[in-house]
Amino acid sequence: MDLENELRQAMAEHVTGVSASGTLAHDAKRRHQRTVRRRATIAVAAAGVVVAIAVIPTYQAINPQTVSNPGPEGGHKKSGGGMTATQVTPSPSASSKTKSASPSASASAPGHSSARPSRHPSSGSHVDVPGAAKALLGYLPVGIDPTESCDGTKTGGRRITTCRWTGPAGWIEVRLVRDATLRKPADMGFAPPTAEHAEVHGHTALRTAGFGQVMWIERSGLGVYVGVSPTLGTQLMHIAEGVRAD
Amino acid sequence: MARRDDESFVEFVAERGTALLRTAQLLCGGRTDAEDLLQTALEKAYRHWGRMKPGSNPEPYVRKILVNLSVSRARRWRVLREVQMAAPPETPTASEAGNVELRGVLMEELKKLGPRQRAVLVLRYWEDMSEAETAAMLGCSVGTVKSQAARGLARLRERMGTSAQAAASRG
Repeated sequence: MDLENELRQAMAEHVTGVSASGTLAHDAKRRHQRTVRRRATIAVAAAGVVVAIAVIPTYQAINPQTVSNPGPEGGHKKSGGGMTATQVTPSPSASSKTKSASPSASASAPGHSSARPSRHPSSGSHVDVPGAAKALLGYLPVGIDPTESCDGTKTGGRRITTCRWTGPAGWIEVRLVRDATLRKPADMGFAPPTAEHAEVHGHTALRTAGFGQVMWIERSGLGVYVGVSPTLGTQLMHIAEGVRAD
Repeated sequence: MARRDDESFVEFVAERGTALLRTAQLLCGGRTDAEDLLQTALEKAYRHWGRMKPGSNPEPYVRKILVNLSVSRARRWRVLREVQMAAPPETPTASEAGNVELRGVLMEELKKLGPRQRAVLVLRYWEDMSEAETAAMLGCSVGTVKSQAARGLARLRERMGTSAQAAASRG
């Protein structure tokens, strides 16, 4: 048996009647266009992911303020929009003022006697309150930078110390409101109308889960407000329970 | 420098499409896979079509893509030989049309060979390429082509012998 010839004939018989379709060239071109489109889509998506991974953390590192929601200031003007105007990083040189900012110090403490009282929120004077703020958070969620930035304002008889923590996971804002007239959480003026009752440290609190806020009166003359970004909403009460106001 | 255009691609496919499809079918076995293989090869060729010289013959280039695709695809799909059985293997029977049935068995045995051995046999005995041309097409040495062809034929002969014996014992 001549296998080579048999093989040739077998191959010829096998492909007898096989003919290419008339649309073969068109199909190949269409396939090529589809491949080009798919590659372009993948390239754009990959570029988007790279940009998101590289740029967003860099932007947050450069400008941490951008991740901070203005919080209740936007909807409740009583809280004083001027609080975000200045951020003071805690420094050892300012430690002498720390004591005056603590809850145990009265509103007439010498450190604040020079501040000009004003009822207008935006005209409140800024008070540096570093040091004490470091002990504010007992629980720091994963993804939040432990370095906080604090500032303080004084408006009339009310002094507000605001500290913020930011990080990839979101932001946390804690305000200590010192005002001799504070009796209940709503007196702080941060609570929206839809707040619900809760409890923090055994004290009655107002909570607005939707906005990620909770506030309570720690003791007479000292109110505490905790606000978190929506990403940390589920940990709001845990964070609030960890706040040490004195 | 002048470049090939879309029209020349359409003309080339219209003219050589059937021959290429037949080669593809011999390389991979099934009709559907042969069409898919050829479309993929033509798509790759179309991608670089504009860079080919207008006077040159694009067929060897397309055929090389086709052969390389079939070999690499068969390597990727280890089960290719099993899934490519378009029809159940025919059992040879003693009859007057024995030669025809023998060729059917021969084709089935060809499909069972490794992709590279099959490509060597298709190029050598279907495309009537020389050993040197086959080696150039597959990117290997002439010695490799010789040995692959010899082994492929020996295996076919061996299997055909077994099939013939089985047919004889049944007949």
